[in-house]
Amino acid sequence: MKCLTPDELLHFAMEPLKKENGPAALHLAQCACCRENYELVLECLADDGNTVSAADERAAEEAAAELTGSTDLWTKLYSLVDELGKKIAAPAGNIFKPASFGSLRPVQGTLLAAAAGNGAGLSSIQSSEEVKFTFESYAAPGSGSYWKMQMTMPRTLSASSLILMKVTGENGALLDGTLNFLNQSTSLSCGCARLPFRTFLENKGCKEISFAAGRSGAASPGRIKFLPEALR
Amino acid sequence: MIAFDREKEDAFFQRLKEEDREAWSIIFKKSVCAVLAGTTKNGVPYRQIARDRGMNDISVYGMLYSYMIGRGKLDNYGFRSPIIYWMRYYVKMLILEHCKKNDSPVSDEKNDSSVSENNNEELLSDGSRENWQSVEICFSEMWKENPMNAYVYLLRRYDMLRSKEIGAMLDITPENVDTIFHRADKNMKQMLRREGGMAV
Repeated sequence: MKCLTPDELLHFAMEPLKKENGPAALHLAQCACCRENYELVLECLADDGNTVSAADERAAEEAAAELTGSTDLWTKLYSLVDELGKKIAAPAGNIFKPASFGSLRPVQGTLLAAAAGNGAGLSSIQSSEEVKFTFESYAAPGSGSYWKMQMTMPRTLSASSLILMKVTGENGALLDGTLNFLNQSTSLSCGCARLPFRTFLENKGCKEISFAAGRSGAASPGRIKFLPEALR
Repeated sequence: MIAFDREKEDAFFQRLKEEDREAWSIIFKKSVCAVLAGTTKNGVPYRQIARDRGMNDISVYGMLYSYMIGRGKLDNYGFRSPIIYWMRYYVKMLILEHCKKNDSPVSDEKNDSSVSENNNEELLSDGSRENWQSVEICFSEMWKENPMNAYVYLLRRYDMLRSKEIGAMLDITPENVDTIFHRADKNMKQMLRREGGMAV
């Protein structure tokens, strides 16, 4: 019998004395790894009796609001990537410029306006503004696992353009380590890494980001924190 | 214990998939908060374990959310148990994994596994394939005859729970648990001798 999944272990733990549970019980008698997991499963059932304070419940509600809200930010980021990708793929060439700023405010400039424009007349771009996105760890400053990543879209963009990602820790110090983003593990040198814009186009929808400081540190997950003003 | 209702779990699962704020709030309260308010079986508070490794409550919420939504692991849910319990398992697992990756495993957890290994060796004597087969036959026989005895034997033999906890779970007294275990243990040894594969 192969090892039991957490779901199967829970199913067994909830009604252990059924005759048909014999094979699962026998597997537990033989497999130290499944026994270790089963101990966790038994704890899960016993956790019904734990008292949760009203303050913890409020914090949980706030966390749910923030985390599910971060999904909207990811969606907006990938909508932008999608729009830009379509324009890059247009026959006019790999380079585009803002055709119209429309209702966007000047500070938002360049890429955002290009994404919002009709795509006509793409030839060259010399923008005065770079578009920056900010990501941040769930871990708070002072926890030892805190990080912040700023991603900067270049003023001129093509599928092969490199997107700069800069990771800092507390007090803005640059951090080296491994960034897991867009289904890629990227090593950072002097706190910086660059990924081609193509990678964004190929991994649209990936909502996972984590950073492991140093060589063997544990990955500390995070979320998208700030979008450029126009996307908020 | 939460009753398992397939239809309700299915509807709740869909809301979680759609990243419904209220559904995730329920998970954070009933799964994450419940775990953080509890302890390991040796009495070490999970919240303390997390905080000692630089994680606050929001990190734990984020870690679970990221694992389930960002990495798509929510799809592994198999609809065989309440999703609240299933999430609790992953909260514990993620905290303990984080500790291991930080090269700071929870010390009492390590001790627990060494106890289990020792018991395993004791039960299986020299660990040969023949002995495994004897244990399989005898344990299966015991389960067929009386699942309660076999289950108590399993939990006590491998030190998974104390008599008091087993008693509370099976609605019998701790003294009864001990009696059942000693009887089952004796029975198991007799069966193994009869099978000829074990010198215990």
